[in-house]
Amino acid sequence: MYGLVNQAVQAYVVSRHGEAMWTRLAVEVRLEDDAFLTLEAYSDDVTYGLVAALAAETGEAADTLLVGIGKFFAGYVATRGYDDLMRATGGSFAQFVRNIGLLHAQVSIAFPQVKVPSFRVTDETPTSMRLHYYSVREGLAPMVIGLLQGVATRFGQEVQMRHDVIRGSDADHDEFCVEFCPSRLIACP
Amino acid sequence: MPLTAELIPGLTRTYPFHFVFDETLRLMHVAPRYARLTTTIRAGALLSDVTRLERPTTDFTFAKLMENTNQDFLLRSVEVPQLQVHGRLIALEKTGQIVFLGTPWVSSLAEIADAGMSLADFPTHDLLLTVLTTVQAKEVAMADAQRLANELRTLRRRPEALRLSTETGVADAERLAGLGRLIGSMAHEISTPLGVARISASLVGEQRANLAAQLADGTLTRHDLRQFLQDTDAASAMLVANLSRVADVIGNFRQIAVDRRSEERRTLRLVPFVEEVLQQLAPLLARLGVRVDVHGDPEFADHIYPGALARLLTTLVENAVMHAYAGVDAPRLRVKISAVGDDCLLCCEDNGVGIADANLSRAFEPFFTTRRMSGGTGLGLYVAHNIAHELLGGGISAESISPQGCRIAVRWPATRSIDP
Repeated sequence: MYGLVNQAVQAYVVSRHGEAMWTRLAVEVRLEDDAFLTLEAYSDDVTYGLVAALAAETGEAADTLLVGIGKFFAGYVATRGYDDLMRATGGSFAQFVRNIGLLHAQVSIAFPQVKVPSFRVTDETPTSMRLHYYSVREGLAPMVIGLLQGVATRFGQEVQMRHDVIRGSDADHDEFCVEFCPSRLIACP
Repeated sequence: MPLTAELIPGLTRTYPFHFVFDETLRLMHVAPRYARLTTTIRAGALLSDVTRLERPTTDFTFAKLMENTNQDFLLRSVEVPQLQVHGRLIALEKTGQIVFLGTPWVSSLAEIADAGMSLADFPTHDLLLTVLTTVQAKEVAMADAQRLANELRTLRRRPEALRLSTETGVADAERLAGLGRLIGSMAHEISTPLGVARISASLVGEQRANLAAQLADGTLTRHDLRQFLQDTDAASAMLVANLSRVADVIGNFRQIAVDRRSEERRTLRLVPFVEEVLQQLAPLLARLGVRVDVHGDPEFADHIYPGALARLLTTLVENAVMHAYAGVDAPRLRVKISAVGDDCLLCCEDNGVGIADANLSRAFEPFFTTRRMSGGTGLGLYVAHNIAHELLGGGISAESISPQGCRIAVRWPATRSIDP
């Protein structure tokens, strides 16, 4: 996983549970160094291990934590120098989601070692869309839900996400039904 | 003849910002994606009215454009100045039309959203986005490097801070121990004269009581009265002498408590300043006929506490006058100011009796004196030692010189800055 993701996990833990909790997690997963480099590729085990350790410490379900981390990540990346790239990705939530593939294409050209997921939008209507999520990693669908909810917040919008298809023996990717809630527009951050 | 309809969809995919114009520069077709970003770049408008030619630098005429078709063109929208497109011109000879095949031009990712565009407006063959993404990644990496460098700097400072803290603690402990010894010595120094003064005072009291009794019972004789006056004169003299001694000790002791907050540093030319101080001490030196020479570069300057230097020099001169010149025919005092590396050096040399080797190492101890019976308090050189260490941040040493005399050297780091 990209160092940026681990940085976001660290910032999420510290902001919600304090430095002491992060120190405990780092010891638990035997982190040799928690000064993550933003653009460095780290073993996925680090990220999975941190989330599992946080779940054990807090008693929260890992899926719930991943949704929270995803939401946090959407705001966090903007503070780490990616705000312009996110703004360039789209001027609205729907446009942003449609262009996520282009965003990841740019990232993967610049950083070939990064394994980026891909997204495809189908069945688009003024109030909903179907999002297809392909990834070599397993178990991160809840983080995608949180991530998109966090992105929607950036555009002053609220969305409902329904995990319609779960990747498994019958499906090679996850599918989400994304419903916009136009009546519940919220103030842009 | 218009551009063939079959060609346009392909152009739209590959060059989403293309347009077609004729030899009058009138736009005949504008790609929808380009057209949606302004209200002016439309078929029928004059290209030179709705855009500015940023590159190449030439007249915005059909003839000049044709002369430069081998170059990259950069056009800026008049209506939306942040919207720029770059590309090539291709002349369609059969129709007399010119096709501009272009893509958006931005110099940072921020400009994409600012111009109302998104990543989707850039064709995949355009490497501009990749370059800009890489540039942004470089900035992120630089921020990482800066953050890590700051953390490293903090970590490197920590052992130094611990070391300084330990050294400060040790220095404080030594200073407190020294203060304890000093107070003990001072108590010893003033207890003897105070004891003598008390005995003298009580003696006067007793004699006065006897005198009063004799006066009362009428036995007082002239001899008794004369004896009383002699005894009280002697007791008073002893009282004054011993209280003066106490006053001297306390007066000198107060000088030990050097207080750097009592004055501000100033940049001084040292030689003229030393001459000025010595001028004030001229009456003292004249009593013994001491000839004084000052040597040094008159322009040599330091940023220093003037009062501290004056007190230091005064103390050294007084010490020399008190101890050095007994029996010396032509007493002389030489003061030298010089720079040694990054330090200032002040030397006070006399041609007096010198300091015995056995006493050199104790010369700066508080209350050490060889002239106690002559009124020496043993605090003069200790005061000088404190000023050299505490106010000047340097050191002081004493040595015998040939053929006779003593040299007191004070060395301190020169301060060039206005505030340390």
